[in-house]
Amino acid sequence: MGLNEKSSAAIFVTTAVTFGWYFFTAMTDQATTTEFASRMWWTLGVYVALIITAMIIAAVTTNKGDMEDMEEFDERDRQIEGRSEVWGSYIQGAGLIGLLFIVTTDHSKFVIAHSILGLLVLSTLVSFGLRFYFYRKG
Amino acid sequence: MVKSTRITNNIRQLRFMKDEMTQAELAKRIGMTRQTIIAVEQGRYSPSLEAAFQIAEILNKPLTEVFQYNAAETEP
Repeated sequence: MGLNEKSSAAIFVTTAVTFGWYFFTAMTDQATTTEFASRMWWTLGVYVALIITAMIIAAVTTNKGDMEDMEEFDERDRQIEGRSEVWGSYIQGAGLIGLLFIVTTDHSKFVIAHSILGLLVLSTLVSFGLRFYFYRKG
Repeated sequence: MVKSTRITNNIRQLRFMKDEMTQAELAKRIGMTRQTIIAVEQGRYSPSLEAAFQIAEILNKPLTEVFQYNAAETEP
């Protein structure tokens, strides 16, 4: 298994375990908002530390030949990245629209609602602007 | 089980005929990763036309001798 595959698997498992634990406790505990805020930042800290550890383990257990793959980012890597990011962006977009629908019902959340809307508009402009540019470029 | 592409190739045999060239060496010469060469050899990934020509050129063979397209598999 190459380093890129190992890294992808490591990030997947770390994210699932760390945030799986966080959301499980968030849904089952009766903690206060302040306690959850502190726990969320603590979880993010643990997540970053685990990602770094997982990367080090992946690098140590990868043979020298495959380590050289790190220096190259070829057409297959770009294709895999593009395909997987499309699915991630679908979930992100759907989630943001869902969130937007919830916060627009509360007038006091005007800033948050319009920040989310602005982000959606900006990402659409960047995405389709770049798509148009790359089609023209050939 | 990973689905194979419709394009098959003889890169593995041709590498050995070309002074036992390693996957790493071939990868380096065309600016790809060794993992990509492995995927191409195993028929899990079809390279771009440009990369295919580069591989054929390095192996000193015509493109059609390195890569074959199985048209029969496209029939319903």
